[in-house]
Amino acid sequence: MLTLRDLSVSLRGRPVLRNLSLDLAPGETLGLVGESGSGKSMTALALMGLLPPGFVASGSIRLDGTELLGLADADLCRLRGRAMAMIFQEPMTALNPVLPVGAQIAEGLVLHGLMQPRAAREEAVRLMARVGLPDPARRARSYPHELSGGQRQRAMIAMAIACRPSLLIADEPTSALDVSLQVEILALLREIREETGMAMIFISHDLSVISAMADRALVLYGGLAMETGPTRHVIGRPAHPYTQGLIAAIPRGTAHTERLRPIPGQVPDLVRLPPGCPFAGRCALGDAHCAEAPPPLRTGLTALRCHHAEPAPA
Amino acid sequence: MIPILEAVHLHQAYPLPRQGLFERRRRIHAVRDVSFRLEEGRTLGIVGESGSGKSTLARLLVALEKPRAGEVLFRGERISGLPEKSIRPVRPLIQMIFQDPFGSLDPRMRIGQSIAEPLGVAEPWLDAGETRGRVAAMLERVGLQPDMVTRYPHQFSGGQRQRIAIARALITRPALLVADEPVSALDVSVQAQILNLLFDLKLEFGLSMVVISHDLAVIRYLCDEVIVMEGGRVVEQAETGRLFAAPQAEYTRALMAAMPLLPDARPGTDPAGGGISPG
Amino acid sequence: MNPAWRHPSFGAGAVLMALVIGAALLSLVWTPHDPAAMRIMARLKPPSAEHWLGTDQFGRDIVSMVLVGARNALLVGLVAVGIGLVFGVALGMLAALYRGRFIDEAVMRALDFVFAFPAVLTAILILTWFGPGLVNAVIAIGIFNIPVFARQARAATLQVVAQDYIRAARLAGLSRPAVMIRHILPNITGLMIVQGSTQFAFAILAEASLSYLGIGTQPPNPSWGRMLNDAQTYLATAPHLAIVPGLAIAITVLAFNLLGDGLRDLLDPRMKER
Repeated sequence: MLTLRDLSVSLRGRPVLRNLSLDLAPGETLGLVGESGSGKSMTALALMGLLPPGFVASGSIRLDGTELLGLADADLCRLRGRAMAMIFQEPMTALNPVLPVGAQIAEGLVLHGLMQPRAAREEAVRLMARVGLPDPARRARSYPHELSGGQRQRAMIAMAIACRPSLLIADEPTSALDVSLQVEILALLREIREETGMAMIFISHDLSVISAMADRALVLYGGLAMETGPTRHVIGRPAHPYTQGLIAAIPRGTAHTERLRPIPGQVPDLVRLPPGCPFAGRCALGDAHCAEAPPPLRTGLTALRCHHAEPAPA
Repeated sequence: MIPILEAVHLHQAYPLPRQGLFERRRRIHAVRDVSFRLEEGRTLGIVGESGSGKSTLARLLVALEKPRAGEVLFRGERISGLPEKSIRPVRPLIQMIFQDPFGSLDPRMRIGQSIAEPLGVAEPWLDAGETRGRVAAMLERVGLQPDMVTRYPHQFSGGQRQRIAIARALITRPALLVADEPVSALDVSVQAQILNLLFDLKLEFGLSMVVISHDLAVIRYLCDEVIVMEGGRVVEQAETGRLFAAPQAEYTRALMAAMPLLPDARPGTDPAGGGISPG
Repeated sequence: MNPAWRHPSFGAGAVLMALVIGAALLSLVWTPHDPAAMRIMARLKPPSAEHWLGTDQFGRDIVSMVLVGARNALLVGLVAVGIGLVFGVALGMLAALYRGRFIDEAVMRALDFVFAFPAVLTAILILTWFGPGLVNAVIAIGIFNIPVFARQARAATLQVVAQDYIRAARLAGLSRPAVMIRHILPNITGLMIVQGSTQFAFAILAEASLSYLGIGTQPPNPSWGRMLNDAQTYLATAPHLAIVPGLAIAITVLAFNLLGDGLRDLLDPRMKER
C-alpha cells in the first residue's frame, strides 16, 4: 500500500535522511524509533509533502499506486487528510484555537467533497463519540482551550480519521500526556486501527510505546535506518550496536545494584553527519572505516546497517 | 539524628483569576498537608502525574516560594517563610536542577560565568584564578572540557546543558540537591548518562537528594524512598523496594499498571528490585 | 572585517545613519547658504546650480535647511526615546517584579492614565502651559514614550522571570537587584531596542506636528517636520518642498529601524556563528 524506495531528504546538499526504503501493508503498523535529530519527523513530513522550505526529497514514495514525490501541490492537498492523515505531539498547536473543535473535524469532510456541511457536522459528533469524548454534541461547540490535553488529542484523532484515510501518521501522539492518559490513547488508536484497517506509521522515541503499538519497528539514527524487522525481534533480540545500546540504557533496577550502561557521547547534529555510519563516533565497535563508508545492509532475523554486527540468523 | 530536610504539614495554594467582579477569589490547592523527613545522604523520590503538585513542592523545599501553611526545616532550622536575606546564608547548601536544560541557563551568559555565579555569592573572597580553577574542575567532573567555558548555552546539546546545570548546582558544594524531572527532556541514549552522573556525584559529594519525576523507572533507579502524590496530597510513602514490590494505594497501582514498559522491565519482575540500600 | 557589518540590516542601517549623522555634523561647520536667510526674490525656485534642491516660500535654501534639520531630528529622537527608555524600562521592570501587588497596579494604572490621553493633544497642553520651544517639546514627547516602553518592559520581564534560569539565579543567592541587572535586563534589551527604533520615528513625527502648530522648534531653527507641514500649501506647485524633508524623515526612520533589527540579532548570542 505504501512503498518507500531510497527516500532521501537533504538540506542545501547535506543529507538529513538517507535511502529509506520500506513497505507497509493495509492494517499494518510500523514503529519509527529515533531520538531527536534522527530524521523521524522529517520522514513524516516528507510523506505528507510538508517539508520545510529548503529541504529537498528524492527517491520514491508510492501510496496506493500513486507516486507522491513530484506531485503538484494541489494534488497533494487532495490526498492530505483524505488518503493520509497525521496526528501530532502537541494537539494545542495543531488545532485552530478560534474554531470550535466540531467544525474543525467536519471541515475535512466538506473540503474533500465527501459530505454536505449539515451531514458533516453530524458525522463530527459521531466521530467525537467514537474517540471517547464525553457529551459530544456539546463538546463539538467547545474551543480547543476548553478541552483537557487528553481530550484535545482525542479531538485530533477524530479529525485525522474523519475521511477514513488509508494511512495514519502519528508523530509522538502520547509523549506530552501523563502515563495513564497515554495508555488510553494508545488503546484508542489500536481499536480504531482494527475497525478501519488503516495502516499506521507510529513515531516515538519511546521503545516501550513502540513495542505496545507496532508490528514492525524501524530504528532511525542520524538519518539512517539502523535496524528494522518485527518489533519483538528488534526489541527482544537487537543485533545493531545502537539498538542494543538504546535498550540497555533504559533503567530497570536501582543504581545501588545495577549500573546503567549509557551510550557515550551526544546525538549528532542532523546537518553535520559523517559520510559513513552516523553512529560511528559513539559505537563500541566503531573504527575509522565506519565514519567513511556507508554501512552495508545485512539481513537475518532483523535487517541492519553495520560494518561489524551481524543479525541473528532468520 | 536531625534529618537534613523535613516538611511539616506543608500547604500551598494559588489564587485563580476572579470569575466575576463580586465573586470570591477561588484558590487552587497545589500542595495539601505534605509531611516527610529525609535523612542525610538519602534520596527521596516524588512521583505523580502533571498537576499532582510535585513541582510546587520542589519550589517550596528550596525556598523559592513561601508556603501558605506549614514549614520546611533544613537540618532542623526553619527556611520557609523567611525574608530573602535570612535565607541567603543557606542558599549555597540547597541547590536545584530543572527539567528543561534549555531554560535553566541564561542564554546571554557564557557558561563559565553561569557556573561561577553561585560561587561569587557563596565565596566572594575567591580571586579570579581560584574561581576559574574551581569552574574548570567542576566542568571536567561533569564530563565536559574545561575550555568550553567561553561558549554560550545554545552551542550545547540538551544533555550537555544538563551537565552544565549540574556543575552550576554543585559548585558551592551543597548538601541537598533537588532535581525536578532531571532527564525527562533528554534523549533516551543521553538520559542514562545523566542518571549515572547524578548517582556518582551523590556518592562523591555526600549529597542528599530529592528527585521529582513522572517516570517510575527513574525514581526506582535513583531513590531510596518514594512519595506518591495525587492532587496535591501524599497518597503513599514507602521505601522504594517495598513500594515497587507491593504498592498499597490504588493510585500507585494504577500508575504502575499504566507504565508502558518493555516486557522485561515491568516492576516486580526485576530480580535486583527490592534491595534497599543502606542510607 | 567585523562580523557586525556583515549583518545586512545592521550594515544598511549603519550606512544610512552615518549619512544622517554626517549631515548633522556637516551643518555645524558648513551649509551652502544661511538656512535662515530669506530672499523674497528667490521664492519657490526649482533645483538649480545655486540652490541644489530649490528654495521654499521664503526663498530659503532647502539643502541648508535639511542639513541643519538633521541635527534637530537626531536630538529630538535620541532625547525623547532616551527619556522613555530609561523611565519606562525601570517602571516596567519594577511593576513586573511586584506583579499583582500594589506597586504593579499603581504604576501601570498611572501609565494607563498617561496613555489614555491623545499624545499630541496633551503635548500641546503641556507646551501652552510651560511655553513653546524645542526642549519642552522633546520632554513632552519623551513622557508619552514612557508608558510604551513600560508596558513592553513589563511584558518582557514577566516572560523572562518565568524562566528557570531566574529561579537558578535566586538559588545562587543573588539579590533581587542583582538578578534584575545581570539576568533580566540583558534579556529584554533586544526587544527594547527594537521598540526604541519605532518610537524614534514617532518622536520625529510628533515633533513635526508640534512644530507645525508653532509650539515645537521655533523659527528660525529649521525642523524637517515644520518644513513638511509648510510645504502642504505648495504641494501642487512645488512638490520638492515636501519630498525633500519627507525623504529625510523616511531615511532617518529607516536607519533606526534597520539598526534596531540588526542590533537585536547581534546582541543575541544565539545568532552568532557557532
